[in-house]
Amino acid sequence: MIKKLSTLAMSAMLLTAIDAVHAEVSRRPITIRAIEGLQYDPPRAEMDPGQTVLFRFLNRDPNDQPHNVVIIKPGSLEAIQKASMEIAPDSALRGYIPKHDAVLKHSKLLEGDQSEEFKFTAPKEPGVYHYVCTYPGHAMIMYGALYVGVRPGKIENDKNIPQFAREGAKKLSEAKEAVDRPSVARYFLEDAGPAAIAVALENDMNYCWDAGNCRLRYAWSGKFLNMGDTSRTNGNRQAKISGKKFWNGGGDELTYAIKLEDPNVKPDFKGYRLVDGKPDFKYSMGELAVSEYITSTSGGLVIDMKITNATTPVKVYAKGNVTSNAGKRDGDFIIVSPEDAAGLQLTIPSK
Amino acid sequence: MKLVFHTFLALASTACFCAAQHPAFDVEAILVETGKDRQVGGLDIMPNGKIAAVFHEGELRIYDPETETWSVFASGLHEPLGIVAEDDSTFTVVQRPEMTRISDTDGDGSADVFMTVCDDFGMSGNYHEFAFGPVKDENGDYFVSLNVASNGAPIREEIRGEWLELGLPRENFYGTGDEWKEKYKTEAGRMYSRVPYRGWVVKIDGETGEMIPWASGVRSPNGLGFDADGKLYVSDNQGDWLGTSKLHHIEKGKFYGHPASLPWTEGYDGPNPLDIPVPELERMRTPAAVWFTQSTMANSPTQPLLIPDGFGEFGGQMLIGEMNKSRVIRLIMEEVNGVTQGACTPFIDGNGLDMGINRLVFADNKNLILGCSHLSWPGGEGMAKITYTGKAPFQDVKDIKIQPKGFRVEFLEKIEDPSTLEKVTLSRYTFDYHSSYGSKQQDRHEVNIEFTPVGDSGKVFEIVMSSPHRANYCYEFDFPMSFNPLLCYTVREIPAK
Repeated sequence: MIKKLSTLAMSAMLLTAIDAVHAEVSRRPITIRAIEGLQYDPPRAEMDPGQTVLFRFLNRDPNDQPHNVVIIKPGSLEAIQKASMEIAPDSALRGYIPKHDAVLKHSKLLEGDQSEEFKFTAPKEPGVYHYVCTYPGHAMIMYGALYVGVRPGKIENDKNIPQFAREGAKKLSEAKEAVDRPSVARYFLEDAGPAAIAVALENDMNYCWDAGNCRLRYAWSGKFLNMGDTSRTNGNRQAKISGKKFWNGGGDELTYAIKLEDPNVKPDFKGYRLVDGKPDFKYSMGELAVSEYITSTSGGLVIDMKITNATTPVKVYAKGNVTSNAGKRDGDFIIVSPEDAAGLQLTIPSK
Repeated sequence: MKLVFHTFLALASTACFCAAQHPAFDVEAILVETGKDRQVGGLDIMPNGKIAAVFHEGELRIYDPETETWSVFASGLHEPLGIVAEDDSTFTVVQRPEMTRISDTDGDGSADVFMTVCDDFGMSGNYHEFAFGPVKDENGDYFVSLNVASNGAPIREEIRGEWLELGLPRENFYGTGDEWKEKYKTEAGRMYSRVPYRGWVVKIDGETGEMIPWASGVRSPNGLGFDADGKLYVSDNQGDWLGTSKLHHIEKGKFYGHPASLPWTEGYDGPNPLDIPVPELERMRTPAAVWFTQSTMANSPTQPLLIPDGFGEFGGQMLIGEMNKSRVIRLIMEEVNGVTQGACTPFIDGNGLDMGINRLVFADNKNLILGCSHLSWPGGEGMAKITYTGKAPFQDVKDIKIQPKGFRVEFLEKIEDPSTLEKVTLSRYTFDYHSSYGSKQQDRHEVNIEFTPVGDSGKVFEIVMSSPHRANYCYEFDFPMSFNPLLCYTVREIPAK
């Protein structure tokens, strides 16, 4: 007890005011999460030599990958990475913990959403230790640095952590939402089908057009999309709409831009042509051939819709405060004559 | 430019332990702009010699090897995973939702037309429903392979295409959190196919865009390619129903083992495929042409590619990429009793190569271009070039053929000291076919072998085994005299003579 107190007192004396903050932090439990893309969050942790800390290891990888966390001696990362690739018949039983004397402490192999707590006492020797996932194939990129009695430098320059962790820290500190206008981006988007398209227009206007059911889904003003750092993602993540939605077409996957008598007729997406950088969408709906070109003003969106081959009046889905240059409103629809359908213009105000 | 190179080297050095250069093939980096997305989903060579590449974040960029510069041709694609350069200004690309023909019709050097060729396959919104390809056959038709969904994630509330009502109702697939994990996940199946043609290889008519379901039973088929005879090969990744990763020789109407895809078979009136007894599935399936032994050979094989004449002595054989190791694998195929089977052996193993070899294309018969990727898995980024220099001779197995009592092997170089052949070892093992994820090597045994020279070249030998061949076994050789000692032959058929 006396010895322990004196060690603490000594280390306290050695600490500067700034260091004291670090020491305070490291006495709390250290929480390490396994996150998407074979990464640990955080990629670095700090302890004092000889200090005992409660580690909380949480597998929060949304991709259902098993992970462990293995704390290893300084300078042994390469050896452990290599050892983790050598799979023996009993590797799985051992939770893929390599039989190697550089292993100081390890968690169990956790499936997605599992957690484990364990205590770890840092060795007396200061140094840069590592924590690494030894599940086969992970160790090459899934590791972090455990600084024991050593101050880590700037994370952007830290060679003890994986390159993408350095770069990711850099990228996240930069604004991600700068976008060329006009431009097209395709990710999974909210309130739309999986084949949706996001378009950034001039005047800070944006919209989502669904290539699955061939219709405008919603529009927003302001910033475009925020995807965060996508460099280690598999596409599961849904893009966040950054600005303010001013119109939402509602409906579902069976709601189409043109309502026909026969509910079994579905639109067929033909693609788009970029006109002044903005898509002019083409699709067919039964016998009808449709093109939809959407531009912006400071007051909202203007949709030029050309519906050809119509022989009877056309029922166009136009929910909410959509106005048109022709036709007659009927509930959520605007009914236009075959002649007017070939040059229909819809306007959606942003306010 | 210098900075870019350093970035690549840093990646390469973290990715591989085996840095020794290959005696006859040089590996060098192709610079991809730093600060940009550098994960390659597809590669092709344009008629003008430039390289077209599609990237993870949706760009189609063109690289001019003369000036070593890049230009952006198109953007806004959704996870493109393959490209065919039709001419210098037209490309056919497979992205998540569609196969699209992208062209520059106004001659300004960037795309203005994005024409949908085919979007007749379903999407549940599950991230694992990747679309791979296209490859184009000699008739101008395309082949695309469609990944099944993973129960590691739910589906989205809106889907595209018909929903397959099969046991678990659709609304249970939206689930997030505990209910999905505790109740529904297992019932869905590890990898599931609830929208059309997930787990299928499809043919897309080059003129009409019509989609023709071609073959079923694939899981995560990240790579398609043809051999010299126009046979179609598709790789598949270890997982549920795949004891280890595979290469399939794909033929119309056949089923390749992952049952999730079966209900999309025309006229299917069977039960939930997870309820079909394994022996019944075993009877239905066409086994793999090649097994890639997990952790030993490959963990995630990618695109197979025919080797042109002049690329060393390997013309007419195939290469295949590997995501999980810094390795390109060589395939030595043959037909026995009408069944396509063969061997795999590392071709470039480390030797300065990065991990994540996702796409391959020959610029000419001396230069192979590689594109790397990882997404959320282990892998690499950027591009590389492997050049045949022929600088120094090296020893490897050039060719191997199955014989009634063993194999006939041909080395690249003369075996000067026949006693070195005594150090060659052979083991055989098999893999389980079951619903759980992967399989251990089963029934592994050493096999005693004897070498007898054939002819007087000193390169060709008959290998006679002490025990008879067993079908559906992987025969793993260690040739210590070879630059790449590991070679595995997957035995399906045994020749009578």
